[in-house]
Amino acid sequence: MDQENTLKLNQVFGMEQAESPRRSEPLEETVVGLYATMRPSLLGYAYQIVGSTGEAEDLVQIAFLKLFDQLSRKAQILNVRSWLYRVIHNLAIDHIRRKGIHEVAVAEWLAHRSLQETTRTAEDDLIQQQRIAQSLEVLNERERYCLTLRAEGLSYQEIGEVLGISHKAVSVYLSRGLKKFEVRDAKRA
Amino acid sequence: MPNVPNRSPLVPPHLSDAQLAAYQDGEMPRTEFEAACRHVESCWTCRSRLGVMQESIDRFLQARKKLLPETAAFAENRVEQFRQRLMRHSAESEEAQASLGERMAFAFRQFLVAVGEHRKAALAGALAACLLVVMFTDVLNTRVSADSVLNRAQSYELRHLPSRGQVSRIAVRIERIDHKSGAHRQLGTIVEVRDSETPITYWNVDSGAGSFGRTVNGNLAGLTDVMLRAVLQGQPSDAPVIQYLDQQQWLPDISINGFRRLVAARGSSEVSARKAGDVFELSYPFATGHSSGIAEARLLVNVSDYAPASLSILTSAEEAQEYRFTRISTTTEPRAVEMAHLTLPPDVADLSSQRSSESSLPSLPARRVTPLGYADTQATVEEVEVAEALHRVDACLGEEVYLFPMSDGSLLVQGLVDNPVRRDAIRQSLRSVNGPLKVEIYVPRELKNGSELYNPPDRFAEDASGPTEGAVPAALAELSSASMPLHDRIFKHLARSGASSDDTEKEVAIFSSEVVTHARQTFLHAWALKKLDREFSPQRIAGLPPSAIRQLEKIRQDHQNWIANLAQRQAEMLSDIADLPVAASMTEAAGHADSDALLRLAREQNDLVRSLFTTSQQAPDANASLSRLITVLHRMGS
Repeated sequence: MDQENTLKLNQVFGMEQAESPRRSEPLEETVVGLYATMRPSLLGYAYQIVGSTGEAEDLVQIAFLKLFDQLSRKAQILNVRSWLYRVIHNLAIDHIRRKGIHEVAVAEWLAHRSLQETTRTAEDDLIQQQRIAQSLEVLNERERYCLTLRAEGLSYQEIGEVLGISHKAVSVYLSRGLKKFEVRDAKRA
Repeated sequence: MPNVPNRSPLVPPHLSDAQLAAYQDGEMPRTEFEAACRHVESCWTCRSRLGVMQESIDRFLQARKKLLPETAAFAENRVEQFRQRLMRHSAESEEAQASLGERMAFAFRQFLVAVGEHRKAALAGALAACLLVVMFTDVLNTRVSADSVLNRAQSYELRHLPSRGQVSRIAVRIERIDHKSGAHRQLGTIVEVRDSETPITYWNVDSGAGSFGRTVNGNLAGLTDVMLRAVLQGQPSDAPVIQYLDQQQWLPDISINGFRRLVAARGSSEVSARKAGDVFELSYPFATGHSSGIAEARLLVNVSDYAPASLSILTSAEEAQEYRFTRISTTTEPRAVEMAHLTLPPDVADLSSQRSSESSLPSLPARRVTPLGYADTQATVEEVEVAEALHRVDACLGEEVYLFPMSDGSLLVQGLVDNPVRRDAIRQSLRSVNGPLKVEIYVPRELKNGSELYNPPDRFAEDASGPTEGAVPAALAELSSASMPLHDRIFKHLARSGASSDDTEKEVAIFSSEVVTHARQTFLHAWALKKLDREFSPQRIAGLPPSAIRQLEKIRQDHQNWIANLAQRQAEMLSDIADLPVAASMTEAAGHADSDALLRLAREQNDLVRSLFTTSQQAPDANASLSRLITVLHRMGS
């Protein structure tokens, strides 16, 4: 099976997988390999939306299970990375909507991180972190998602695919987000 | 770029924040990127802004890194956990797919095996399924059974009868369509209000001539005639149609029972029905040349609920008229006090007259049932039975016993007989008649002034001098031999050697009496035959079944046989005294005479016999009269 899928995946990534040693691996192993590679960045993105490590882990795994199902059905996925981010984004949004924590997710996340870090962070670091957290709070959803995805290394094109917006809109959201962050930061400073 | 003012129109504008971000990330299109490069190289402000933006990005990334969870910890465990989860998921998917496929394959194999084993049953099942689909989805249903549609429409009517405490109001629009000229004319509206508590209906007719109301309690005779004449405004061509509708007691309420009555006497069993869009169209052709002039009755019934929608009566091709009755509304409303009062049983005729707003409009006939003329009615099987019963006891031979078709559809046998015995005999004979029949037979002492008796039902009895008029019963004939013209000739013929003169006179009297009686009976049979023809004219018997027509023919033949036999008997008796050979006279016999000719001949022979064999002030030419009489008798005897 899956020689074809493996080839497609390699083409999609266009990276080291281009000469993949897993060409003859079963699809399950290919997907597990992808999971191991992409888990940190995907987990970070999911965590930023849902505010919980356990739930973010679960969402990422579900996204990979869906990827497995799609590849099993010989579905063609042009860009696996943006596809995974999009699936995770949608799963996370659904999750917080179901839980009714849409607006408070970031605040919880920030508060949770602050408490965790309090005991072992220097006072200056704590102050800086709080500044960043407060700056992030003024970002709207789109700006926050764009900045986060850009930070994960996605191109404008991929960010647009994940969020369903245009290339131009991505640059606008990014610049606005950075501007707010810059202004807030400057004021704090 | 609100924060960075442009320096001069000659200098390229600064990059916007979005362009700056795209420039920073290398996400600019090539041409735009090259221009941006040139600008940034020459623009200190933009280079400065790029630096600020880069610092912001660096700080954001650094801070975010601190905010993110530690993903490296237990990474191996997480990957292994995911592998196991994926394996389980993969196994479940395969199992689900396999089980689904297997189940379907197994079921299909079982089906094929079953079909193979029970091929006929499977075929029958498939056919039954197709039939069910066709039956319940009306997929192919363009032809329908008229009877079933009528029955369902009747069920609809029964379901929609006004419930207790309510009245139903049905409005029917009447139109006349001339298919020759295409003229379409709305004539009026008839509203029927049915009561739930009583059998009374209230009718309101609204036409170009005005409006009037009628309250009817059961007896519908004449109602259609009155209403339709008012609405149709008396076109000559309408008369036979209206007469037929009234005779069938059809009412313009588009009811199914009424429609059944309408087509009951159409003289044809042909019927067709089809589905045309939203309606079933039931077509009932009338017999060609039907006396009413109607060619077809057509009923439209809604497909959705089987409610009768409209009814069309089409006349023959020459007239090409269509009378269309369309039910424009059917409502149910509370039985208001006014309505209840209107429908109170007593003396509804008074109420109806109060409701009439136009005195010039036709009024209903009197509530009393009245006799109808033969010209206005159609013969019924019951009438034939009555005629046969009267014929059986010879009540048709000159007795004043008449059959009257009545306005309520019943029959009345009314007359005057000599004595109660005779009356009982007639009554006994009439007991075999089915249907609504009333018998009123009087003896002379029961009559006060004769107003109890109706005039005979048609002009015939008035025009033709009846058998009793001027007639002298044979038993009462004065046979004074002294003045009877043929006395001597008869005496001579009957005189035998050895017989006394008195005995011969007695034989002359018996002979004369017999001739007069035969002449009288001949005339009575001819009169009865003519009366039968008038009573059952071809127009009146058009709707009769063949059995009734055969019965009439039998009566007619009976009279003709009697006339022939009696005439022959007389001719033989008279030939003896006239010394004329029968055969020679028979050569003068004419062909078969109709009832009119027979009656004329019978009257003539009766008059001749009376002049020759009874006393007379003016003695006729005996030889000429006798010769003529024998000739007439021979003609009748043929």
